[in-house]
Amino acid sequence: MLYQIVVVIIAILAILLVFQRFHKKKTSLQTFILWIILWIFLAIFGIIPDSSTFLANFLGIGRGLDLILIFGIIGAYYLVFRLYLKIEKLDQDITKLIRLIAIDNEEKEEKEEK
Amino acid sequence: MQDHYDDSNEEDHDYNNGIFIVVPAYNEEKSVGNVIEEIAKLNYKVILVDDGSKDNTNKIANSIKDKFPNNIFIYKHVLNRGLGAALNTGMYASLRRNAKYVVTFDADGQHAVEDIAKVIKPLINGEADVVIGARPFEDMPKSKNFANSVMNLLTRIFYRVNVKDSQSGLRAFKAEVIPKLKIISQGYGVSSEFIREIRRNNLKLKEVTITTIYTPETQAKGTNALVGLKILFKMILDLFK
Repeated sequence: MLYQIVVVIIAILAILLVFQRFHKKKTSLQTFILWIILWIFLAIFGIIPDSSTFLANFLGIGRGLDLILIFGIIGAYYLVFRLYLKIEKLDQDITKLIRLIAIDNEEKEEKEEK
Repeated sequence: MQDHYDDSNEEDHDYNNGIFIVVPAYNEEKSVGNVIEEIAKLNYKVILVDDGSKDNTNKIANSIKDKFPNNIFIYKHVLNRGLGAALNTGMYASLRRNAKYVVTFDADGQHAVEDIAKVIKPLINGEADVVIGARPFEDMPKSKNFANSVMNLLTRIFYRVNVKDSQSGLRAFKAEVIPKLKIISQGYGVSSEFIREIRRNNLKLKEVTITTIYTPETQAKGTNALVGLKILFKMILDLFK
C-alpha cells in the first residue's frame, strides 16, 4: 500500500538525518539512540501493521493505531514540558547575564569617575 | 548602626548609613525622578534598577544622580527581565555595597518616602528580620482590592502563610537574611515568593501599615486579574518541579 512505502521512505530519511547529525556531533548518543529506535519502530509498524496490534493487545489497548496515538500524545506532552523547563532555565541564565552586565557597568563607571 | 533610632531625626545623616533603597523601574519616566530624589534627600542610598526601560527613565534618573552623586547608583538591565529579576539585581548590588538594611520601594510613586523609616524601625529594634509594608485594602480601588485579596488567598493556600498584603512593593530586609532567600520568579510572582522564603527560613516577619498613593499611573501596573492568573499558573507548575 502507498502509505507503507511513504512511511518507510520517511523513516529512512529521518534515520539518515539523525546519523548525519550524530556524525557531526550535533546530538548526544542518548538522543541518537532514542530517535533511531523510534523510527525503526515506526517503520516496522508501517510495513507490518499487525505488529502494532500485537503490541497493543499485549499492553491491553484495543487497536494498534490507538497505541501509536496514545504514545505519540504522551511523548509530545513530555517534550513540551521538557521544552518549558529548558526555556525557563535559559530565561534565568539570561537574567543572570544581564545582572552581571548591569553590575559590571555600574562599577566600571564609578571607577572611571574617581 | 545605633540602637536608639528616632523617626523625627531625618536630618542626622549618619543614621541612614547602610540603608539601601532598591527601586526597580520599568518605563517610569513620569515618577522615577521624584521618587529617587525624595529618597536621596533623606540621605538613604538609592539603588535604582532600570529594567530595560524604553522611555526616558534612565536619562531622568541620571540627571537626579548628578545632584546626589554619592547617594544614587543606577544599574541598567540591557533587556527587560521583570520585577523579580530587577529586585534581585538591586538586592545583590546592595550587598556588594555593604548594606545593613535593604528596602524595596516601587518607582511608580505609590509609596510615601516617610514610610521607609517605619518599615526599617522593627529591623533596627531587633523585632523582625523582614518587614512588609501592608497597604490598607479599604483604600484601594475595588478591582485592586479584589486582585490583592485573591493573591493573599493564593499565598495562603500555596505557601500557608497568612499575611495582610502579600503583593506590597514596600519591604525591608536585614542584609544578612538576603542570601538565604531563593528567589526564582522573574516577574510579579516574586512578591509571593518572598513570603514563601520567609516561611522556609523561619524568619521573623512583621507587618507595618503604610500609606498608599493611588494615581492613574500607579494603577496601570501591578497586580491585576491577568497578572494574578499568570502567578497562579506559575505556582502550580512549580509544584511539579
